[in-house]
Formats: sequence, structure tokens, C-alpha cells
Amino acid sequence: MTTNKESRPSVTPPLSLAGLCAGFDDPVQQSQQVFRRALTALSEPGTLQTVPVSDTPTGINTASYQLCLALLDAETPLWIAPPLRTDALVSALRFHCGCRIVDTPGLAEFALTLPDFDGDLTRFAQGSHEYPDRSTTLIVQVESLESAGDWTLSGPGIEGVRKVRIAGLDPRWPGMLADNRRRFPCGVDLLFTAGTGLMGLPRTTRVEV
Amino acid sequence: MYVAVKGGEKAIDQAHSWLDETRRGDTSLPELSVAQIREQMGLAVDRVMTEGSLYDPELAALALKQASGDVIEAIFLLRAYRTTLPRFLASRPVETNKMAIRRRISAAYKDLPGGQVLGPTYDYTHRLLDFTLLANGERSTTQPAEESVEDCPRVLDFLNNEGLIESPLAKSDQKQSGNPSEPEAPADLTRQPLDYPADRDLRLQALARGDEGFLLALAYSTQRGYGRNHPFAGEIRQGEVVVEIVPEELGFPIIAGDILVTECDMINQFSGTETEAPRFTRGYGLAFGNSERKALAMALVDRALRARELGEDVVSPAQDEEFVLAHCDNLDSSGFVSHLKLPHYVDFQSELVLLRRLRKEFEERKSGGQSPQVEPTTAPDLNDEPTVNTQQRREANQV
Amino acid sequence: MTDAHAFSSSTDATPEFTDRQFWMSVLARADLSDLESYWQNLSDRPEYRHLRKPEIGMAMVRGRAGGTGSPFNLGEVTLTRCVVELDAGVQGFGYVTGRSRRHAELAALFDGLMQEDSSQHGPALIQPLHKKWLGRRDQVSRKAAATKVNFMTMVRGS
Repeated sequence: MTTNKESRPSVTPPLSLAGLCAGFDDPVQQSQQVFRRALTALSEPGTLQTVPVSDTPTGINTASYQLCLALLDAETPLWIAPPLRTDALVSALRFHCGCRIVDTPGLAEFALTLPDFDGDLTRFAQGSHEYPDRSTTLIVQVESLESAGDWTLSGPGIEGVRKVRIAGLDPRWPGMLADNRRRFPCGVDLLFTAGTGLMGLPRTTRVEV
Repeated sequence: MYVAVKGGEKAIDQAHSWLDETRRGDTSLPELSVAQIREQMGLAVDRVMTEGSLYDPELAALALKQASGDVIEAIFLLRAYRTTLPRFLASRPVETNKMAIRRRISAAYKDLPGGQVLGPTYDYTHRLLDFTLLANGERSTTQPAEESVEDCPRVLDFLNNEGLIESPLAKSDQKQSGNPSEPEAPADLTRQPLDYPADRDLRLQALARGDEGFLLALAYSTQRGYGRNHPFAGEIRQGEVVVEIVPEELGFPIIAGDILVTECDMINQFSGTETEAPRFTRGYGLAFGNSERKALAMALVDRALRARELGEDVVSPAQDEEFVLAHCDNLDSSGFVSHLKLPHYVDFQSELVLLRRLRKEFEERKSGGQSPQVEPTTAPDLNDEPTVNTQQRREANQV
Repeated sequence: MTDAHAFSSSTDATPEFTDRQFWMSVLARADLSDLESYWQNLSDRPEYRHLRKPEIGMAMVRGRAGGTGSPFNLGEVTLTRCVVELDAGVQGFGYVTGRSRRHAELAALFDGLMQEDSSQHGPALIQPLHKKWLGRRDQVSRKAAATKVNFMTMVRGS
């Protein structure tokens, strides 16, 4: 019953703050600056945005980390792909963002992952026709991002077409992205990161390889 | 449709300056401090906190000062302010059983463990204006008793132990929340839009923030027969409860402070079925601060809104959850009523055009006899409120 | 982390209520002026840095239907938090209702100091603060008790 659950809240293990990776020095200002870049990345898909260099937990792109610091709080459950789920990262995000880490991608509002996760994009929350915004936003760490290359993007926020190269995606991706677009207005939005670089592919963008 | 109207900035600035001046009043008198309002206008502060949905006596007092004592304007200010703050977390549910009692009364039992504790109440005052206050009269002081208040067990638990009242865990309570990652978490109307039918957690949240006057009138309507549910004030208690939180990075619960709340447990009409013995039902009210009228009204309306769940006919306004929940928020209602002050110049022009045309057609029909059939008239669709527009058009067509 | 110093005089003490939870509650409920004067009079004030600068936000306060039923969201309360790291590497946390940054900071500092040396600050700081709070609460409760009704029974018949 509900009460029993409530009277014994899921007590998470205490956090070790030794060697904790620093968050934003000025959370209000820096969050807004990163938010602005994320907004531009998604409203002008395929443009390459960069965030400033900062302390980042090992194995995590600086852009990914700063996106997390800017976008996550106690009300945004996060799923982290197992290879990225280090103690250093989990501690830093629990401390700076207060976000819950969930085990099921479909319950996450944000997901931090490598491109080679199990299954396809439907593992994540797709939103509903009434509330398409209730879908997962993915932060996908890739090898490199370039604003020129073999992929041709078109759609809202792109005048004509835009060429990009996203290195490190396995061959499933063009198909997954096409399927994702077909699910509109449902579907996920993606933010690709490499180092301090950041590029957005919202569900509305058409990708031709 | 609203038309952007430019100009008037200077007039607005002047109007605001005059407002400031008016708010301050006679400058030969000392200015009210926020601390004075907090300490001496406590019940207004408590109402602003309850309906402003933010417990912070100092901010509520500031809002009252800024709003010249207009409670609804102050609630608006507090609601606006709370949107600027991050929500770190949710508390564990407050344990009102462990309340540090200031007041505790029951209208159902005379003698009960802990007794009837009146606390600081306006009950039993004669409602005669006290002219000593006008003359800065001396205040009286309470002589504390030798002993503190005894344990005050929850009155409805006596009935519950005998099985004479429904369990506080009503059927509708056992449900999944809208938040999939925290399934036991109650729904939150400040995060997800209100959908009907709404479950009790959402209804209680809406009632807790709801306008006291509106809820009071609805509560009264149930007593006068519009959704009667035969209430007894089983227990009213007021006192401090602990705010206990579990910060994500600590992983264990800590006490961050105490807040004053008022709680009302209503005992209502009993009901039974072929399979279940008859027993009393419950209504519940909880509000920040010393807000007894609000807690009572909330408990009555909460019970009325359980009509569907308890298999009662929904025939009265207080039982109609869409009617109650959609209209109980005084920010929504004052916003929509006040928006009538905004320029509706184009709307009104279109109405004038339509009315003139209808009158012309009417005159022609009257004088010409053989006038052609009146075409269905439609106003240009310029209105911002489609339902109102349809209604107006229907009225216009009836001319 | 928690030192096994008994604060069993606490009325709040329960098996699950650790010493650290106890002193954190005392610090949260204390008057800012008392915390400040203890800090100012401290002979060896430690150096510290902020892991989290004092920050004002809110907690959503939940209640339960019928007092003991299923939870619902009542409304928010302002809440200020701060995390410091003392020179010795101990981290102190402050979570206090209201909007006093300094209160949250001092609560965090003293949480850190208590973890380092509760035998000094327990009797000198926590216990007097707790006593003061209990006294205030007792005063309110005794005023409430003074308003307790004693019914007279009206005798009917013979």
C-alpha cells in the first residue's frame, strides 16, 4: 500500500563528497549560458555550439556535463547508460543537480548515453499526442562533431539544407532517426556532444545520408 | 482578439506613482513595517501563505504591504515570486498526529484524551468593537498552565479503531501518480495540467490553494442542502508540525524547521452497501498558519467532491469537481474577470456592426413585409474566447 | 560519520534518529543571532570553502488525506541550503526553512564542527540551543494548556 511505501522512503546511500567534481561556480549565470546554447542547438539543428572548458568527471564530455548541470534538477529523472555510470559522475550529479538516477530509460526525462545503447530510440519516453513534451531528451556522446560532412539535414530551423558529420554513430542511426521523425509529434530530441562541442537534432529534423 | 495599443507609458508611470503615494497614506503617520504586519496581521498573512501556496510569513507580510492589504493581489504577488525559486525537493508528509498543539477541539466528543484546548481563538468573543484598541489599550497576557498540553490522539482514530468510520486510505487514494519515476508521489497541479476526473490528491492540492471565500460559500451550500453530507467537526487542530526532508546527497531524513498549520477532520454522513456495514465517511482540510475557516470549508468541499467515489448522485455545484476545481483558484478567476479591463476595441466594434445589421434587417422586415428570409448571421470571429463568442452569437441571433 | 555521543535527553530521540540528525534539527531551529554569536566567539574558527554556496529555494510540503492517508501536495515552504568543507576535509550541510543564507551557512559550518568534535560543541552549542527551543515550545504548550476546557457536569434529576 501507498502509505507503507511512503513511511519507508527509498533511502539512497549517503553521498561521498571526497574528490567531488565541481559544478558551476555561478550557477545562475552559467546555467543560462549553457541553456542558451542548448536552445540554439535545437532551434538551429546541425549548428555546432561550444561550451567553455571546465572540470568534468572522467569519461564524460564537458558539453554533456554542463548540459546536465544546466538542465537537471530534483524533478528531472536521469538515465545513464551503464558504461558512463561512474561513481564520480553519479555523485556529482546527485550533489549539484539533486536529480534521481533511474534504471529504466522510459522513465527518464533525460538520458546520457553512448551511441551504442541496447535497443532503439523507442526505449525512451516518446511523449503522448496530448503531451508530446513528456518525452526523453537524449544527450549522446560521440567521437566528433563537424558542421560539414556527409549528412544532409533539413526541416524547421534550417534554411535549405545543412551538412554535418557526426562521427562514432553505428549504422543503425540513420534508420532510427528516420523512425523517430515519423513518430512526430511524439519522439525524442537529441543533443550530441563531443568534448566541448554540442549539436542538436530535434525530432523534426530530416536526415539524409 | 486583443489589439496592441501603444502609448500611455507616461500615464501608467504616473498612475503607479500615485498608487505608491496612496499606499503610503498620510506621511505624518509612521510607516507600517513588514515585521509589524507579520506579527499583528497574522491571519491575513496566513491566508496569503495558504492561497499563495508558499509558507514564508515575511514574504506574505511584504506582499500584503505592497498590495495595500488586498489579499488577492498579495496572493498573486506571492505566487509570482514562488515561480522564481527552484524547488529543491518535496518534504515527507507532515505528521499532524505529532503536532505541537496550540488548539485542538472536537465538536463530536465532549470528553476526550487531551481535552478541548481552545488556543488563541476568536470563538466566544462578543464581536463588539474594542475601543480600547483604538486608544492603544493594554493587551492582556496569558498565564501559562503548570503543565504542558497532554497527548492529543486523533479523534477519528477512536472511530476508526471501532470500524465506525472509513479508513483514511480511501479507494481512490490507491493509485499511480502522474510521475512515472516516483510512482508513490502525489500528483502536482503546479507541474501537470489539471485533468478531469481528478483524484483526491489533486483535489486536495487545488482546495488547499483555493479561494477561501469561494470554498466557504460552497461549503455553506452543502449545509443548506445542495449536496448535503451531514458533517460534524470531528477534530480541529492547530499547531506546529515538522518539515522533514531527505536531501538527495545526504540520503537520510533531516528536520529543516517547523511550520504552523491548521487541520480539520470532518465526520460525515454514513453509508453502507450490501457487503459493507454502514460507517461514517471523512472530509479533510489542511492549511498553512491559523486558517480555521479555510480548513473547515476545505474539509466540507473535499467530502462533497467524493460523491462520485462514494456512489452519491452528483447534483450540486459543490459535488461537481470540474465546477469546483476549475473555479476555486482566485488567481485564475480574478485574472479572467480582470482581463475585461483590457482593450476589447475590435471585439466591441464587431458586435456593434453585427447589432446594427440585425436592427436594419429587423426594420426592413417590419416595414417591407415581403423581405427575404433572414440569413444566418455570423459575427467575424475576432473573439479570444470561443465559448463566450458562441454564446454571444446565439444571443445575437435571437434578436 | 556520526559520533556516538548520547543526546538521549532529546524528546525527539528515537532509534532511527541519529545524533547527527538531532544536531542538524537543533541548528535548523536555532535563532540566527545565537549561531552567529557562537561563531564570533569561537577561539579557533576553522577555514572553510563552499561546496555549495548558500542558495534559496523551496520544498514542496506534503500532507496526508485524513492526516494519515495518502499524500498530497499542500504548498511550498522557502528553504535555504548550504554545504561547506572544513579545512580538515569534513563536509557540513545546512538545510533550514526560510530565506536566511547566513543561517544555512552557519548550520552547515556547525554540522561540520560537530562531526569533528562533538564533545566540545555538543555541550557548548547544541545542548543550550536545544534547551532554549524546548523552553520556547514548552511555553507555547503551557499557554495552550491554560486554555483547556474543564466541563462542569450539570446534574439532572435527583
